[in-house]
Amino acid sequence: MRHKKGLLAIVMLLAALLMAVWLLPQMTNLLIERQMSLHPQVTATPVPPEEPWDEGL
Amino acid sequence: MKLRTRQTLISLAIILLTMSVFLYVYVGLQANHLLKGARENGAWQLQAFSEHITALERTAALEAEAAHITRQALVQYAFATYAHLLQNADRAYSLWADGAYLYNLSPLDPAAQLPVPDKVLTASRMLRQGGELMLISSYSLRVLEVPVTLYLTENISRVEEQINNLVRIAQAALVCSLAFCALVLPPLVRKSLSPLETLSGVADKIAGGAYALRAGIDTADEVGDLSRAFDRMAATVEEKISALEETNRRQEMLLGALTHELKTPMTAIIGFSDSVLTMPLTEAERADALQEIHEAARRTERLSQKMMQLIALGHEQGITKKHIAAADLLEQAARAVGSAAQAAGVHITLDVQTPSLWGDADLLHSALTNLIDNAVKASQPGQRITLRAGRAGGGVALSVIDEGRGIPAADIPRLSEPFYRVDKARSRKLGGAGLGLALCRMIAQAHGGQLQLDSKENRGTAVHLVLPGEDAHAS
Repeated sequence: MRHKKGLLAIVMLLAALLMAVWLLPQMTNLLIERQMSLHPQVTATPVPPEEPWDEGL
Repeated sequence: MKLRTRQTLISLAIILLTMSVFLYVYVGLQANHLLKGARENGAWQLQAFSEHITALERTAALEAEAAHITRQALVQYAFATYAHLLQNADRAYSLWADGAYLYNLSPLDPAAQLPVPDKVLTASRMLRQGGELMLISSYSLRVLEVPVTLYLTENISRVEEQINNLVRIAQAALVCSLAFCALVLPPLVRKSLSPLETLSGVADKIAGGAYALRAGIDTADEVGDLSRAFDRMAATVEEKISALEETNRRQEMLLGALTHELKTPMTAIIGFSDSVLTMPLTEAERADALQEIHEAARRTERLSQKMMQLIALGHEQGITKKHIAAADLLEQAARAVGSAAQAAGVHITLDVQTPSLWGDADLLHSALTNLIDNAVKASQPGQRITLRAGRAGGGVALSVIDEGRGIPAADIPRLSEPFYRVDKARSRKLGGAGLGLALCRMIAQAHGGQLQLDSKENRGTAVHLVLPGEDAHAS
């Protein structure tokens, strides 16, 4: 019974490790997918007219 | 599951969790940073491109005489030249105006993929095309008072590859670090827990009877504390077991000696009663036989009384201590054995040097009568017995001093053992059972004191019952 518990714990630890390794690229794929669904936009703001060139200067 | 296995697994689980959280956060932030960087890079390139176009437009506008169509063709030509110079396999530019491409080398249809509404300066969109990650960026501006949109179509699969490399490094770091910890942790945990295994082994051996064994782990941590507490417990257990064994041994001896001592009066009782019942005796012989039976019965009674006192003291039953007038105690004891002393022709004198003492009056009376009785038996007619109550250190010494035949030095150490007698035949003849001094010693011990014997053959014996003072009891 003791050995079974230990074995079970080791199997669970390995499973957790595999899951962590497998989930990492899934997370980055999700990040890319999320970026693909985004359409960042910057709205134009009025640009002030340029000052006329002062010939006297 | 063994503690070391559990500790190792818990540590590995914590390390895995911590590293996973750290790597997930790090990789997530880096991936976001790279993707955001690609967008910003696209916007920045288009902005730089637009500044070239704007500068060229201003130059063309200075040529006032130039026709509008000429200036437009100049701008379009300049755009095509820049776009051609800047584009490569992963990057292509497009120019969109009035619902049509003025220039387009993009494999995609950027205006359809990223339609730009009015008043939007820059926009961007990521999409996947044929397995490649593409980024379309736009930048709106007015050229020759006509609204146009610049598009940049980039293949940013390299960014995705960078992210994938990061993921692979993180995966390798996770697996390698856990494998390293799985190799290093077990011996470390085993080493740190080895004192507990030592402790367990010692406990098993103590349980098997090796009471003198100690763990002896003297580290400055909790295990050291546990070991020291364990050793203290083992010492106490050993002490208690030794005491129990000693008590058991003494009780066995006592029981054996008692059985032996009871046998003598019982033999006398049975023998004389048998004679009275079965033999034709004269009246005088019958009276002698009955007298012998009476004496044997009385001896048995005395024996049983002393045994009961010994057993009571052995069980540490509570004794009642109070201030006792020393003179009264000595007088009462002398009176109790007065008739026996008178019959033996022995004089008893009192020497009271201290007014009072602290103890149980009944027990001390019993001890003194036993000691005086012994002194009377050891004395010759005409000799004197002195009862003295004097100071001894911080306490009191009750002394019984006789001028009798004394005790051989070799017998003195064993005198206070139950049923031990120097001269067995004579002692039994005088009615002694060898319990008196044992009882006195136990009474002295019950008071926290001791019994001291000082004897010289043919010169006399002095027995001192040394008792601590009231202050010693209080402390």
